[in-house]
Amino acid sequence: MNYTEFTDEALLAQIVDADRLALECLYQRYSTRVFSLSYRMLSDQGASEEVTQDVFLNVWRRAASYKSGRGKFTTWLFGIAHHRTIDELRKRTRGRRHSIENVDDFLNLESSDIQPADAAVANSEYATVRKALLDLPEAQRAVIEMSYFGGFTQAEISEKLDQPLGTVKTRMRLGLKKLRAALASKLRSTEQ
Amino acid sequence: MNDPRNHDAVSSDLAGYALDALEEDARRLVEEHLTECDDCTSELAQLMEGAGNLAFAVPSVTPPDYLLDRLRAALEGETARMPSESTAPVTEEGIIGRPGARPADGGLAPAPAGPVPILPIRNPWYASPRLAWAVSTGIAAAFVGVVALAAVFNTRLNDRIDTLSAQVAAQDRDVATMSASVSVIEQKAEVTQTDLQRVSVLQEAADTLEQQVNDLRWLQYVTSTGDWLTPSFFSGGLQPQAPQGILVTHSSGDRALLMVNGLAPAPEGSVYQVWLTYEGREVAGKTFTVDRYGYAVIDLDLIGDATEYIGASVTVEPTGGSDTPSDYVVLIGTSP
Repeated sequence: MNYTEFTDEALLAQIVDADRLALECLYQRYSTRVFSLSYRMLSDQGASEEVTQDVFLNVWRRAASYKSGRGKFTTWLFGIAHHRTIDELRKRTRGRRHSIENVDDFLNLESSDIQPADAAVANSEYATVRKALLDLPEAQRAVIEMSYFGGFTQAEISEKLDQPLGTVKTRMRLGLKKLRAALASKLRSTEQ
Repeated sequence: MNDPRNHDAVSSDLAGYALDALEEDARRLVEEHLTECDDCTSELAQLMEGAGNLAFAVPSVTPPDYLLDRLRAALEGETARMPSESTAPVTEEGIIGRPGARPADGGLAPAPAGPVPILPIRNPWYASPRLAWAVSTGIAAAFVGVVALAAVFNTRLNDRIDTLSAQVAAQDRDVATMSASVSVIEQKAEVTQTDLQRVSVLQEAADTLEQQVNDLRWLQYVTSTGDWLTPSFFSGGLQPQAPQGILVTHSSGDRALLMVNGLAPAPEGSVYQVWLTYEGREVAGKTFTVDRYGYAVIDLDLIGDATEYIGASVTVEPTGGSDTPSDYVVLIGTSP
């Protein structure tokens, strides 16, 4: 069977049928993205490896629970990856809340990390999303970056920014909706 | 029964849920509410999609090769554990049984013997190998409908040129007014549901207008410079939002003007570079970057006999440009 032609959803259906090669194909497609996200949030290679492995094991165990009508596969996958990474991040910072003034600490591009074979593709996706983020109003971008990359809860952000909780919630909601609209059909995941 | 007060409270927490930014209690409330509220489930799906895009906002770091071996070993462990496993895994949707299509005993289908093939990632259009110009006529054919519109396009533009300036100015004013309204609402200490809807509508309208303003400016520029020949249309792919470009050659035969839109900013350490194609060779053109709307206008010098020019392309290159084009073509087109 030539899995390279399979959509993500078709691979997932194979995984429900306990097809390990289908999982490996999804791993080949998305492990770099999952690992990159975790590595940038945790700054710990070992922990990021654990997270990445857990994420794909979760895909294996939970494949049947994915409902295509509720969103794209990549949304589901990156949701699992982010949630798992946030858990790890909060475990590490419990009792010594980390201080993140500038999320660019997480986003700095280190060219030595980038593998040449996929660099242009990855950089194009990176640039596309970074542009969409930069196009957001600064107040919306700040709350999204603090929560998604920094692991802060909305209550913590409210306190840190000295803004009403309702305002933080509204900015998160508006920012996410704008991001979705700006990036519709622009990324690899939408072409599967 | 879905308590409307609960609905309002949970609804305002959906974005926080999508970003994993809720305390545990609030998260649990959202999950309980989602089991009985289709509206919130639907909105959460949209917000999750917005959040999922953020996974692309970090630079790419390749995991070590041994990680795949570890995953394989872990899957072996799953295989050994599953037949006697009595507790099913928990998902966001509650307890599920093992996927129904698996064998009745819960075991796994045996993996094929031998090495696992390396399965290439399906590349998006902008990562596809450089297309030989011999093949580019196929691309031109794919856009024959667009090219056929060129004559109509020019005639209509010439007729409308006098009205474009007024439209641009009027729409600029509308965008400014809408942006100001959004700012006023965002400065309020507490934002109501009505405010929220109003901001969404205003922002959407402003975005649409901004795009129109830029389209108009672009077309205005093409038609106001005079003496330009029928344009060649360029495309970065078949998707509706793929980058587009128009290249026009000057009647003098020694200049060309390339206008692009919809291009993402070039990756850090990179620029876009134009390549002009003559019979049997490609000549390096200027490097450029794009503005926040993905627009750029590049003035190019043609060499030799302009009739030899048969097309052009745009690639991603290291800052400073290259002598030979890279494999990463973002726009490609042929002379009409």
